[in-house]
Amino acid sequence: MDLAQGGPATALGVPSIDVAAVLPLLIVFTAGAVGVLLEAVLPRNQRWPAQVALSLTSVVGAGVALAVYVTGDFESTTTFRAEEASSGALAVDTPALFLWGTLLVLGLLALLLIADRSVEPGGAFVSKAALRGGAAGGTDTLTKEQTFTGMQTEVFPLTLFALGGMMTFCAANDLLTMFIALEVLSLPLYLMCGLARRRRLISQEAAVKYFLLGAFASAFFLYGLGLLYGYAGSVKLADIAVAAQGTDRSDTLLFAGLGLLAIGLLFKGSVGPFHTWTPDVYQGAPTPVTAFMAACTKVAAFGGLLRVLTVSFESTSWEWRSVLSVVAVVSMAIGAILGLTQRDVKRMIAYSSIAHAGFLVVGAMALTEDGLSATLFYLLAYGFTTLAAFGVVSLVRDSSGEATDLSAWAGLAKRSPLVAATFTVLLLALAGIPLTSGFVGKFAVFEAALSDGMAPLVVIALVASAIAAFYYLRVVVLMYFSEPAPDGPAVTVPGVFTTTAIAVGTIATLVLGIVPTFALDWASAGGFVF
Amino acid sequence: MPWAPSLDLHLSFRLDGLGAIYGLLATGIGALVFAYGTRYMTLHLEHERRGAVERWRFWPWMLLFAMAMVGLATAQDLVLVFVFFDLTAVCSYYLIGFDRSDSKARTSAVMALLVTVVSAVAMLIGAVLLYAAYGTFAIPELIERVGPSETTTVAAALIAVAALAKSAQVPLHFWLPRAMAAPTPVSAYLHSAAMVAAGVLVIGRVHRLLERSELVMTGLLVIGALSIVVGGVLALRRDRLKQVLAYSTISQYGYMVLLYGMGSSTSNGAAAFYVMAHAVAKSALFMTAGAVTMATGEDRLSKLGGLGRRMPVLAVASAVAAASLAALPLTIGFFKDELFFAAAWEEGSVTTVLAVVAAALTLAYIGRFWVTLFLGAEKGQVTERSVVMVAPVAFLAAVTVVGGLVTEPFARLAASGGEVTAGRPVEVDPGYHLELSPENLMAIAAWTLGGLLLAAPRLTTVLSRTLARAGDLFGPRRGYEAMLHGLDRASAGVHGLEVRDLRSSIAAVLVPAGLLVGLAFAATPTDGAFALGHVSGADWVILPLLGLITVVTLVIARSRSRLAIALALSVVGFALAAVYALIGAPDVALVAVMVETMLALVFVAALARLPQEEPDEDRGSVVRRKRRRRDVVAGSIAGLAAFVTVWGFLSKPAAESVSDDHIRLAPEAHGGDVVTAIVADFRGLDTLVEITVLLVAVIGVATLMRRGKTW
Repeated sequence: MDLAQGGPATALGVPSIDVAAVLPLLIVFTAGAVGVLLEAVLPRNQRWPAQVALSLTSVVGAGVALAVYVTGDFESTTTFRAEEASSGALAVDTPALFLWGTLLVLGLLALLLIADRSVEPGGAFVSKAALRGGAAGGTDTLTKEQTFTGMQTEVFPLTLFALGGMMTFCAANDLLTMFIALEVLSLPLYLMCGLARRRRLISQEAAVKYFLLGAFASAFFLYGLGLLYGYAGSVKLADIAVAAQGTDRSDTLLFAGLGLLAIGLLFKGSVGPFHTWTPDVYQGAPTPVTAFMAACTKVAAFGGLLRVLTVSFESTSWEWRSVLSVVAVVSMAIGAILGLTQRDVKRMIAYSSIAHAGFLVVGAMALTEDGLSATLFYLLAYGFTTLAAFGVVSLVRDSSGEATDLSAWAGLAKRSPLVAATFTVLLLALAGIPLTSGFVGKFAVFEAALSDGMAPLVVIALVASAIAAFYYLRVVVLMYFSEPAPDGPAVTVPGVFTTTAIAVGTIATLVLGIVPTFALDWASAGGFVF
Repeated sequence: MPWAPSLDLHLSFRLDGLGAIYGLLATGIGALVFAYGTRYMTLHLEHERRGAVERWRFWPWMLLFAMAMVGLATAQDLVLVFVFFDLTAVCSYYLIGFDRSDSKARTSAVMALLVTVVSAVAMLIGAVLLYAAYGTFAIPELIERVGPSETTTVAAALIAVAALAKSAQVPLHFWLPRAMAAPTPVSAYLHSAAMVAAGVLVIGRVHRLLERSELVMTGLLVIGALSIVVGGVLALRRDRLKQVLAYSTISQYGYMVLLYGMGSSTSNGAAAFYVMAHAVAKSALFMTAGAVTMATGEDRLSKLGGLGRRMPVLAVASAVAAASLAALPLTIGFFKDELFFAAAWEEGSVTTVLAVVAAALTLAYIGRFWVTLFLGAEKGQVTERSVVMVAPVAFLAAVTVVGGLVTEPFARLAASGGEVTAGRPVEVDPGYHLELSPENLMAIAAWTLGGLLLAAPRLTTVLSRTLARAGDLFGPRRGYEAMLHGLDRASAGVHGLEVRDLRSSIAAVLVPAGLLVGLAFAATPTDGAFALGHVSGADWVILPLLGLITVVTLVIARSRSRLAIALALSVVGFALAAVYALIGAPDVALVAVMVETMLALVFVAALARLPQEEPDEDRGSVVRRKRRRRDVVAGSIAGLAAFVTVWGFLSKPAAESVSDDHIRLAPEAHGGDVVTAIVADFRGLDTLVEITVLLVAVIGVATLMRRGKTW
C-alpha cells in the first residue's frame, strides 16, 4: 500500500487522510479482512450466513457512507468539493464518487447472485478449488465432493477484496497505486473463475487462461509505468501531464509507456484485440462470477482508462487518438462479427461485451465533459443490464447444470413467459433499442464523440451496433418463435436473492431508458481533479 | 418537452397538417380494424386450434402499433422519428409472426424486420451526419439550416432509403407480399395506415430536406415509377387474395413516392390526399379478403367465385372500395387520380404517360379481383357469416361515397398536409369538371386501357408471369437470400478463426502490444534519445554478472528439464540481486535475495508434486519445430524491443530522488540509521498496512494448513 507516498519530498509530515472521503473503501477492505478471519474461526455450517450477512452489510454500509459524504457536500457548498484524499494517492472527485456508487450497487447485486443457493443446491461454487472435473469436460456427473451441498464461502471475502481493488483503481491518482489496485482486483478474480461446481475442467481452464494472460497484461502495465517514470520522473498522473507538455524532450518513452499502460487497461476492459481471454473466461467461470466480472471489472477498467487519458494524456490526445480509434474499431468489429457465430449464450454475451467495450472506448476518447459523463452513464447502464442477463442465464438449467447452448433456449417463452420477457428486455437494451438504457447510453456516447469531431468513428459504431443487434434478436426469435425441444431445460424458480438481482437490473435498465435525466445529471456533475 | 436535456434529446411533438392526416388514419382505421379484429381473431384462433388466451399475444402489440404510429405522425425530431420507426418495426415483427407454428410466418416476420430495421439504421446514420454538420436533430430547425451540399445529399439519400424500404418500394419491396402471413386485421392496418404508410410519412416529414438534393428527388421519381409498374404488373395475375392486394400496395405507394419526387405544390397536396383515399379503400379491400376467407376457408381467387349473390352487402361495399382504388367517379378515389394526373401533367410528358399506364394497371388488377370474386359461377362454400366483419367494410364504403360527393373536409386536410411537406401554401381543389381538361382526358384514356387489359387476360398473364419469373431469377429477394447465406458461410469461416488456444491468445496480446510500442518509436523522433555511457569502476564487476545472466537465459530457452529451468531462473534472480548491491541499492538487493530464495523453494516444492512425464505428445514433430522457430523469432523481437526501450530509458538524465531528503531528515526522526527512520517514521503507515496484509495472509495460510488438504 502506498498511502503516504507523494507530495513534495521536503514536506515529510503526517500524511493527511480525509477519512470521510475514503470511508467506503475502508469499510469494504476491512470487511474483506474480517471475512478471512471468519473463514478461519467459524465452523463450516455457520460460515455461509455469517459471510453473506457480513458482505451484504458492508457493501450497503459503504454505500451509505458514500451517500452521506456526497449529500453532506451538496448541502454545504452546493457543488462537489473536489478533494484529494490520502495525500494524493487517491483522488476522490466527482467521477470517482460516481464510479464508486456504480461499483457498490453492481457489486451488491453480484453478491446477491453469488450468495444464492436456491438455483443450484448449495450454490454455484465448489467447496474445493483444486477438485478435478469428471470425465469428458466434467459436464455430466458430479463427484461426491461436488455434490456436497456446503458452499465455498471464501468467495465472499474474495469478492470484497476485488470490489475494494476496483474502487481504488477508479480513484487512483498515481500509477503505482493504480497498479497495486489492479493486482488487488485481479488476483481474487483469477481464483473465483476456477470455483464452478459444474464443468470443472472448463472452469479451471478459464482460471488458468485468465491468470496467464492477466499476468502478461499486468507486466505490460508495469513496464509502461516504468517507462513513464523514466520520462516524467514521477508516477503521479498530474506530473506526467506536466512533463508531457514540455516539448523539448523526445516523446518516445512517453508514447511507448502510454501504449504499454493502455494495453494493461484495455485488457481488463476486454477491448479487442486484447480480448482473447473474454469468451473462454466468461463461459468457464461460474455464472455469478461472470456477472460480477462483466459488470464491475468493466466499470473499474474504464474508470481507470478515463482518468489516465483525461488527466495525464490530454495534451497529447492528437497523437494517440488515431491509434485508439483503430483499437475501438477492431473491438467493435470483433465483438459484432464473432458474436454472430456463437452457439453459447455466455460466449455470445462475452462477445457483446467486447463490442460494448469498443463503444466505451469511443466515449472515453472524447475528452470532453460530455464524453466523460456519457461514458460513466454507459458503464452504469451496461452494468445493470449485463448483470441481470447473466442472472437469467443462471436460471435456465437442465440435468447437467446451466443449459447455455442456444438450441436449449428454443421456445423458452412458452415454458416461462416471464423469464423470456425479462431476457428480451435485456437483450433489447444490449442491442440499443430505444426506451431501454442501452439506447440512451449509446446515444450519449455517440453524441459526445460527434461533437468532438469523430463522425467516421460514430458511423462505424452505428454499423457495428446494427450487426450486433442481429444476434440479440436471434435469441429473441429463438425464444418466441421456435418449438421447444421435448427434453429441453427447465427454468428454475429463483430464490429471493437472484430474483432481487434480476429484478433490480431489469427495472434499472428500463428506468434509465425512459427517464435517464437524473443519472445523466449525476454523471455530469463534475470532472476529474488532480 | 425535454426528455434527456443533457443529451439534447427532446420529446418534441406537434400536431400539424401532416401529423393530423396520419394520426387520423392511425386512429380512425385503427378503430375499425380493432372492431373487425375482435371477431376475426376469435375465428382465427378457433381455426388454428389455439386457446383464446393467445389473443393476449395480439392486442397489446396492435395497441402499441397504433400508438407508435400516432407518435411517429407527430414527432418533430429525427431521433424521435427513428425511435417510433423502429417501434413500428418491432410491433409488426410480432404481429406478422403471430402464427408461430407456421414456419413461413416466421421467416416472413424476420424478413420484414431485417429489411426495415437494417435500413432504419441508414436513417440514423443520415441523422447523425446532419447533426454533425448542423448541430441539431430537430426537423424544423434542420429545414431552416440545411443548404445543398454533399453531406446533405448523402444524409438525405440515407433517410430516403430507410423510408422507401418501409414503404416497400422497389427494390426493397419483397418483404411486403411475404408479410401477408399475418392475420388479416394486421395486414389491413399495416398496409393502409401503419407500417407501410410510415415510410411515406417520413418522406413527407423530411421532404423539405430531401428537396435540397436534386439527386435524391430524381431517385424518388425513378423508384416511385418502378414500383408502380412492377407492383401493378405483378398484381395482375396473383392467385391469393392478399397477394393481389399486397402488390397493389407496392404500386399505390409508388404513386405517392412519385408525387413527392415531383416536388411541386400540386404534387405535395396530391400526395397528402392520395394517402387518405388509398387508406380507406385498401383497408376495406383487405377486410373484404379476410371476411371472404373466413366465410369460405379459401384464400385463392381460382377457387372462389360468384359470391355476390350469397354475400350481397360485402359485394356492394367492396365494389365501392375497388372503384375508389380504380378512381371511378362518385368515389373519393376519383379525386386522388385527378390530382395525380394534374401533377403529372404539370411535370412533363413522360410522367403523363406513366400516370395513364399506372391508372390503367390499377383498374385492371382490382377489376379482376372483384369480378372473379363476386361474379361468375359459384365456387366455394359459405359457412360463416359475421356482421361485425362486414360492417366496417360497409362503413368505409360509405365514407368513400360521401368523400366522392363532399370533398371539402378531405381537401382541406390534404391542403394543410401538403403545406407541411412543401413548406408553402398548397391549394387542393378537387371537383368534377365536365370539360376536356387534360386530367379528364387522361382518366378516360386510363379507363379505356384498363378495360382492355381486363378484357385480355391472356396478355396480362404473359406479362405478369414473365416479370414474376424475371423477378425470381434476378430479383432483389434472391440478393437478400444470397446475402443471408453469405453471412452464414462467412460466420462459419469466422468461427474457425476464433482464437481458443493459449499460445494464440498470448500472441494476440503480444503482437498488438509490439505494434503499439513500435508505433511509438516510429512516430517520435529518436535524435538524441539514445546516448552511450562509459564503463568505469564497479561497472567492470557488473559486466560479467550481466554476461552470466545472458548465458543462463539462453540455457533456460534451450533446456527441457523443468527443474533446470527453475534453478536457472533463480540464478538470474541472484545475479540481478548482486547487480543491485553493486549499483548502490543494498536494501533492494536484500529483498531480491529473500524473494528469490522463497520462489526457488516454492518452485521446487510445486515441481515435486507435478507428474513426472512431460505432457507433449508431439515431440520432434513438424508442428513443434515450426512453433519453436516461431518462438525464436517472437522472442528475439520482444528482446530487441525491450533492449531499445531500456536503452532509451537509461539515456535520460536520472530523476531527482528523495534519498537526499531522507538522509537529511533522518536525525530529526530520532532514527539511528536511515532505513529505520524510513520504516518507522517516514513511511510508518506503509509499514502498518504491510504488517496487516502479512497478518491476513498468515491467517489465510494457517487456515489452509489446518485443513491439511492442500498439500
